[in-house]
Amino acid sequence: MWSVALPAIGAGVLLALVWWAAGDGCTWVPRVVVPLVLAGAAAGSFIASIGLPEWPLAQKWHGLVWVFGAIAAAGMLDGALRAGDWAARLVVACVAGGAAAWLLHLPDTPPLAVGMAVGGLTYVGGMLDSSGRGVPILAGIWAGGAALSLLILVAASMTVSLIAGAVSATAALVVLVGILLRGRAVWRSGGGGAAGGGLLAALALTGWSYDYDIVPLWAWWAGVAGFPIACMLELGSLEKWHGVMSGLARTGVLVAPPVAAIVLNWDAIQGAFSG
Amino acid sequence: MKSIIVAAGIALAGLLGAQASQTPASVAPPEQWTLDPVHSAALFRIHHAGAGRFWGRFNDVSGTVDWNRDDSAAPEFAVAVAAESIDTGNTKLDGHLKAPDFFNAREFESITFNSTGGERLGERRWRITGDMTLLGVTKPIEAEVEVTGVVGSPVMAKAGWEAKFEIDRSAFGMDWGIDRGALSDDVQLIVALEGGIEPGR
Repeated sequence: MWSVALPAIGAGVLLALVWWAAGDGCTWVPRVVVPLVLAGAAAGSFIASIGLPEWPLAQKWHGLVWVFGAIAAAGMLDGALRAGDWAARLVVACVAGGAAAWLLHLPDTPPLAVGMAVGGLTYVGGMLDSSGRGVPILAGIWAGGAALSLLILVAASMTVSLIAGAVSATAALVVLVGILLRGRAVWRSGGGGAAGGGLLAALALTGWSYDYDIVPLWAWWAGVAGFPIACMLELGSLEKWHGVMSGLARTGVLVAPPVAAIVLNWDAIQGAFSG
Repeated sequence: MKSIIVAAGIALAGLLGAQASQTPASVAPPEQWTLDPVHSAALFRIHHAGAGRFWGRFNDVSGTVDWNRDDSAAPEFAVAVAAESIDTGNTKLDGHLKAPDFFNAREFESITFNSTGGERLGERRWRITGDMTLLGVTKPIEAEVEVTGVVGSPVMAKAGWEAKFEIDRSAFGMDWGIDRGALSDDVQLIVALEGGIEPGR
């Protein structure tokens, strides 16, 4: 379990130190450091499991660790953008998607599909994040990461499952550290949406590519569906909610699809843990 | 006396020369045996959690063996094992072994072995050297091979070989579970092959 606990705890300590040093008044530091710790936990988990892969890559999925680096950079850039910078946000997402298409050549999956999925969810996550909904987005990353970790475990790829688990645990720690250090301000602190979207897309595609049709296709979609659904609803009905109910409604939308994927595949998940 | 020695020398040289010129013609080209997947299998044994020795097998083994049934030269193997044909008797374990943590069968469909040489150890026993490719990594290995039998008829001939060897899987980039002692690095393998020569060949 070191591949989950060690990167997540390291990410939590780094985040706490940076937030403490930055003080309450600084808003951009958390927005930049949260994507770094999320993608850093994923990369740390990868390296704790199999080390830093050689270049050229011996196996296609080893490109994940470099994609995590690209997503960290994209997430940090996205975090530094203002809410209205949608065009710059799109450019950042396209660069993240291009890097993923170049670095992550998965079996039977066209690089264009990898690039579009990672770039698309990086953009969607960044757009959601720009509305300053910190905790709901992190809850979405926590639930999405947990669902993907369990689904990938069912698909029998232990190392990738642990990486998704590290992302999920880190998202939960970000909320915990944020509440402890910043109190209610964490609800508006934001950060991590773009990186979280990109990470979930890369992990879901990797899990799906190596799966021997053990996990149903819809479950892979459900693992990442919270982000695009929330983004669509943000343009419509979610905009009408305010206050605590706004946060709860947004959290519900982001968390419900991955939770459904877990609940509806519970027998297979239990089977993966037995024996 | 000198002339006798010279004459004998010339005669001996002529005899050796004649033998040398005959040698290539006297060694027949090896027969090519096509492996029978039904009666061929690759078995592996690995130490689990420092406790039991665990066996598994690959069911789909194909390829050819170039070998003369008089066993005058080392058999030359060109063998491919389908990674997806792994069979431990437990579907869930098979799934994990096919996954990227182990054989990564989605990316690397075959494990291959191609002979590069052989040394006779005894009657129908050989030490075969060759290149084994696993997870896209090629390493030289040595295997002790026994010719387990050969039967022939004008219609059909069959022969069998059994190879025993050991590899360190980490040399091929398969590291999962070694550092925690969940599974050993060293793996023993037994590859039992049966090949046939088709009529008319």
